Amino acid sequence: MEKKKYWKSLSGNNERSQNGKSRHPEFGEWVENTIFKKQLTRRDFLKWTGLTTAATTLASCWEVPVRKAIPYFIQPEESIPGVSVHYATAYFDGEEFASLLVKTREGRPIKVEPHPKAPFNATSAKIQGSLFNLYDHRRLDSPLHKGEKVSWDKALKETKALLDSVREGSKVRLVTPTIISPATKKLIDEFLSSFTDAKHVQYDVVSFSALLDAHEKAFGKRAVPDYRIDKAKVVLGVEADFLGGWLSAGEMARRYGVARRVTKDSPEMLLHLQAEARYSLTGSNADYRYKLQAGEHLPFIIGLYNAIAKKTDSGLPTFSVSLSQDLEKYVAEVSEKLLSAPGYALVLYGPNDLKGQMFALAINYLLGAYDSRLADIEKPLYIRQGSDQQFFELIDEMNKGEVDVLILYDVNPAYDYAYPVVFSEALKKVKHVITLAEKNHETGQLSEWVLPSTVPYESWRDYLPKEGVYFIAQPVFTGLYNAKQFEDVLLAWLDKNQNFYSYLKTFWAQNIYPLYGTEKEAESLWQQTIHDGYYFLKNDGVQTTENGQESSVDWAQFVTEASQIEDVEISKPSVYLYEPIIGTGRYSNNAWLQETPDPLTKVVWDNYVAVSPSYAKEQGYKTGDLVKVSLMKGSGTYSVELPIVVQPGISHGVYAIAVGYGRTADGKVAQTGKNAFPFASLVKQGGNYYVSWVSGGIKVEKLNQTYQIVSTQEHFNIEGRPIVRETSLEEWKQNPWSGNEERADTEKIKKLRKTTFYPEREFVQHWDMVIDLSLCIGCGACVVACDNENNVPVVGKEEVGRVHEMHWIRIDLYYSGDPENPDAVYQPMLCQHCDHAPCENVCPVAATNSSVDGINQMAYNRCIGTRYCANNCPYKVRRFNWYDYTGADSFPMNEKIVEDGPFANDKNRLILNPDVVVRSRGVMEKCTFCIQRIQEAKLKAKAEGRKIRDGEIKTACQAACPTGAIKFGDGADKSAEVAQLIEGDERVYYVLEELHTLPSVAYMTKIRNRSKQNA
Amino acid sequence: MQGYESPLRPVLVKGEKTYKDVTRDILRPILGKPSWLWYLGLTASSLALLWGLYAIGRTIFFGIGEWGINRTIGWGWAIINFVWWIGIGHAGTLISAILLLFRQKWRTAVNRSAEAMTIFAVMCAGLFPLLHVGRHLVVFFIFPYPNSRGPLWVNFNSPLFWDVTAITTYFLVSLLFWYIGLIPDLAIIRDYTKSSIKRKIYGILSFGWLGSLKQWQRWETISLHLAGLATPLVLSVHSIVSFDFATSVIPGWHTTIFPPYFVAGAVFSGFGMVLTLLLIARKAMQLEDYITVDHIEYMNKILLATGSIVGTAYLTELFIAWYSGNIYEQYAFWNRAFGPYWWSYWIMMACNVIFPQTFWIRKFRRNLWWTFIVSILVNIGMWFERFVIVVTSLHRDYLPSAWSMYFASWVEVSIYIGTIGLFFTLFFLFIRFFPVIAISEIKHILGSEMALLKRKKSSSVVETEN
Repeated sequence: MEKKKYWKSLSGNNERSQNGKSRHPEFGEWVENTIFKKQLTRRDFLKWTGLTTAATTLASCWEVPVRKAIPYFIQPEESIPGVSVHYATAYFDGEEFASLLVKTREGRPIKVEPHPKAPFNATSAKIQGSLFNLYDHRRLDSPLHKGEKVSWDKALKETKALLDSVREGSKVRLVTPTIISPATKKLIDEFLSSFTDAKHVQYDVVSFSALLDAHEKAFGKRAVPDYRIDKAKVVLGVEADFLGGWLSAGEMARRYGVARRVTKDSPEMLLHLQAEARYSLTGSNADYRYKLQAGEHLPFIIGLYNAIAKKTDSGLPTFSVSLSQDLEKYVAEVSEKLLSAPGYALVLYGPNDLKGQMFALAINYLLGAYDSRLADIEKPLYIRQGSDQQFFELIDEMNKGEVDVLILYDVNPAYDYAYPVVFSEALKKVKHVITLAEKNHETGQLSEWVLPSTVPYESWRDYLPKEGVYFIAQPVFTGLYNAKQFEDVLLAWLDKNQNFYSYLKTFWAQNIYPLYGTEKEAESLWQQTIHDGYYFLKNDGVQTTENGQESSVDWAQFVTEASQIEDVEISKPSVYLYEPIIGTGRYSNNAWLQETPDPLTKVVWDNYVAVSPSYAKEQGYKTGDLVKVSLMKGSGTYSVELPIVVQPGISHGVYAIAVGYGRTADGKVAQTGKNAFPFASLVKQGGNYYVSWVSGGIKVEKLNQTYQIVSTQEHFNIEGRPIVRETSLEEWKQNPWSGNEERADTEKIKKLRKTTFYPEREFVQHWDMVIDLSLCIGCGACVVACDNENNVPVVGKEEVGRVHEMHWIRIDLYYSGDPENPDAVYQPMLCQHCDHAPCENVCPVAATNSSVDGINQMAYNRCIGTRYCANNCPYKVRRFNWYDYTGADSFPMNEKIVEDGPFANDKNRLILNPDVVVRSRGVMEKCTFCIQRIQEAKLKAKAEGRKIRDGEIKTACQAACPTGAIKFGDGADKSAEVAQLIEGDERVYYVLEELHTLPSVAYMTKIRNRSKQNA
Repeated sequence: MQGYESPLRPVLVKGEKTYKDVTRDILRPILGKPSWLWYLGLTASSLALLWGLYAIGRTIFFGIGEWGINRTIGWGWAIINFVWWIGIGHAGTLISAILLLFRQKWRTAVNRSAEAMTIFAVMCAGLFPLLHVGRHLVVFFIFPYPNSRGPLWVNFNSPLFWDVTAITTYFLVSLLFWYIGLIPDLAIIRDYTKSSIKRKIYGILSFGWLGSLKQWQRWETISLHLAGLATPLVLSVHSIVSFDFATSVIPGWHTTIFPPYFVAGAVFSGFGMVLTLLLIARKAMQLEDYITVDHIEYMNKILLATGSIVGTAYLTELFIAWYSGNIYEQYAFWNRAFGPYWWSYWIMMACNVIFPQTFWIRKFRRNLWWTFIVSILVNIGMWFERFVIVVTSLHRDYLPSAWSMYFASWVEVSIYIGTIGLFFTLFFLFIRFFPVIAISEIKHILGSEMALLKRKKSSSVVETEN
């Protein structure tokens, strides 16, 4: 009888013949016949054995790198592999404060984002890059005693013994940056009180001494008023780069964005005036920029005071001051504009010059800014408290050999003081120096003891950046480096058997929560505060003067006193220092920041001397010429050789140099450029010393050498192309299409957009971005955020010089008008995610294509690197991996990784985002609209059974943008914000729309607050 | 009825040659010992090749970053050289196929070497697209091969894919055509050589050719068929190469004039190269009787014609840029002539448009030195034409913020030198081991030519000498 045949599937049944054998042998005829049919002879067997052995031996000869991955024994409660956890925390670097949300994956922080709810939730480029400092492998990993590594036990024991020996009668001095932590302040007080002669000196790199002293003189309160430019109608900056590094770049930019946002419902915007000699980021955004000559800020502010005092009939005295013709004109114009909005006008005076600050304060009083709390001194900012005079006195004490123990926490005056040599010499006369620092920096190297301290992301701390708003910073990581928190060291020195966490908790329970006056239990409040990251205090907790802030001030006497203060003479040529994107030294080793182009020159990886085009012509300078800049200072001359960069808008005879470069005791990245801090000078005013970032009387000598200056943009002229569109507020009010007239015929545009040979694409979901050019200030925060989020390679100076930079988003800068005082416009440029993308049809292997939700996507694995897509991209946003920038290839010999950059070593690489693949050599990459975030949100929405909410997904650039210039959402959802803008706002346009690429990134016409465009 | 014989047509083979003379003359370099010049040439070109291989090695090991191209200018010397070599490779097929179909008998003297040149040039050209990619190991993705990755297929919309197809086809057809033509000649060498090894090798290479009537008949048939196949290819290959640019959106690339303009340019440069090589070869190998001044003049006429087409195309582009009213297009062409790369544009104009115009004058057409100079200038000019198209269009396109400059790195230059080395290495080997002139085809016309010669002598028609 025939055997019963079982079959699994119809095809299986049909495929097999009656005897059950496959008609198509699974492994091919030959294999079936020789091996399976047992025709393999002994000789064949030996041959095969030999071959396979040889092959496996050969294959295993290559040394495979061993990487350790240690699994959890016990999985931590919150950490689910592949799922990110966000923690609320806060960050203060001595200059800028921000409340943040830190994204962690598998326990390691990978990205900082602004806190969605808390105040002070804006990030600058520096804050966006600050997470790198946590991992930087140049950090200290062990305490050092005279340069030798010692254990913490030993270090603490010996330093404690040292401190115990000086409790009585000896001078102990503690230098820190501004401390805004109430608990830390209390602890410092406790610590200092354990000595008979101890003092705490706060030292600010970007000093606000004069402003603080002026406010102390006026209101008896040594604090920075909280400048509410978000509420202002007119703001005047005088040499105050408030969107750059002056006070708190991120927060000020956020407020600026609030005040500058124009919609059809609220068609008013802040009028921004700027008077300056250096062309700053802030000045480039001003509606009216008044070009001061070198050193004219002081006569200008006095002249302005006179004008306003007269015009307001305040009865306050005026003071004679000689003004140039230009200044007279400026003063008349500016005073009129300021007085047009009484109570809503504000003057920010930048230079650290007491006289000017006092007059600026008086102007703000006359404008009613203190009354209206536009300059809120009642609830001031505490983020600057340093005193140049105190630090000067400290150096004096040190020089006299009086200081027995000097404790330096988180300061580096041997690098960033105006007189680093004087400080270093004085340091030698101190008997014992204990430095607590993240790295063994310039000052640390001169210290007897260097104790590694934690970065803010590893520390428990509370912050009070502004009166009445408390923040808790919780550590988001720990243990990578053998560092201790400063406060824990203090506690150890105090012999308290307690860590700072419990100290902080007790402190809050005893001091902060009682102010709240609630019955709630401290513990639950504490949990809530940590969860939220911030804590608002009701008004009743704060002691304030009643009925206005300036009632008690004798203004006539105040201005008279101001007028008696000595002037600061700035002679030409003069040097103007400024804080660049990389900050003042703390972030110098941060390759992301180094590679973020300067907003105004697009130069990366260097500082340089910026001069105006006419001055350059006069002196015979060209960009790249080396000059030797020297400044006579006290006993010696400081001189450096720096290259010239010709930058439009700077005043005649002004040499602008960025600080923060030329570190000698940090990683390779930080060593680029030259130290410019010594070009600052000490100025004596009203009996006190102030560090001035403007110094006159420099000598400049042209050397017959050139230096390679590298920038990411070479052409700043728009060549009359309608790529950026702008208009003035007045014109826009009359005609909402103004500047964007090309698109006024909406029917025609609609028809043209639909013209195609192919069937029209329908989108259920379509990701769109809208960028408001009125709000983009060009700060570069988005660039750094994108680098961090998307593991964008840092390529180094040489590679940028070869036009190989990899940024997925760049900020295009176009100048217009007079090169001596031009208008600037910034345009963030990223992949436009075209629906008809020119890159897609030319790729031979279909590695780039369009997703169903309108994203132009890249399949890196499929890309063979013909670069045709990059050629054919009209926006030139595609980036090619020319070399192995990331270490993604298996050969170590062909890598081109920036030393000390984010890809450099295992520790630095911890910053990489595990959700984004690290691209290998030879593939094309570009902006993905942060597709990993979209995906995350999609999965979350799906799990929760709902649609994605509008605004739920924020791209990295959008989240980082302090002014909120970038909007992102689903354009197919008609209720979404982007859809409504695209549909209904007359300012919306697309770049190169005429190519019919149908981009997904829309731009909005820039509006300047002027009556006419070129006024 | 006798066919009409033009009384003015010069004789294509000089001197009274017998069939034996032809064989002996042409086989002389193959059967004899090569001169020191040959060794010198081969050494020099293989050294250049080795240097190029080193540069290729660097490119593959370190990455395309070794080249001077950048974010804005994604294609540089590699693509310029690719198009240049492909252009050079056009003359061979044109001579063999189109002229065969048009029964132009003068082609017999030059077709063999022109075809060889085509094949070598296409080999050099084909190297560049393979090298210029970022990931050399996966370059096979570009071929539509069956794979296990689901419905993963090449992008049939991409001109780069069309390019791969066109060039592969062109190379295969040219190679076949050339080799089929070689078979009878290889058999002659087999029969003449005294070395047993050579006899064996040539025997294998000639596929046992006996010269029977049937074989000749089939040989004729396949030659004609291949000629028919190759003819459209001459037009299609460079049209498709031009699509690499024409289908883009970049001003200066996005032009419908490109296909005819590229084909004319290719024939132009191909003939330039054929002239350069033949002028040297006829002197060095004493083949003046077979490659005559008349041959040179014919080719110069083609140079003049194609050069004029190319020149017209340049002017048309300028006119259209102005007429279009498109600011990007207008800027692109203004930038070509007066931008930072102005010199490349004017070199191109001078070499391609101005110099070949001298060939309107017969004296220049028949002057060997002048022809030699112009033939080299043509190839320089055509190289710069590709430079102008590739680089100056890309370096300043839509957004001024992305504008940049391009300077070739030594690696790119070395690879170019390497391909010239490859070309000449192959060419030197070719003239040593294969007959430079198609023996069988010369013999094919020899009877009629000798008859013509006799008739001319008897009617005392004075030959114009060069």
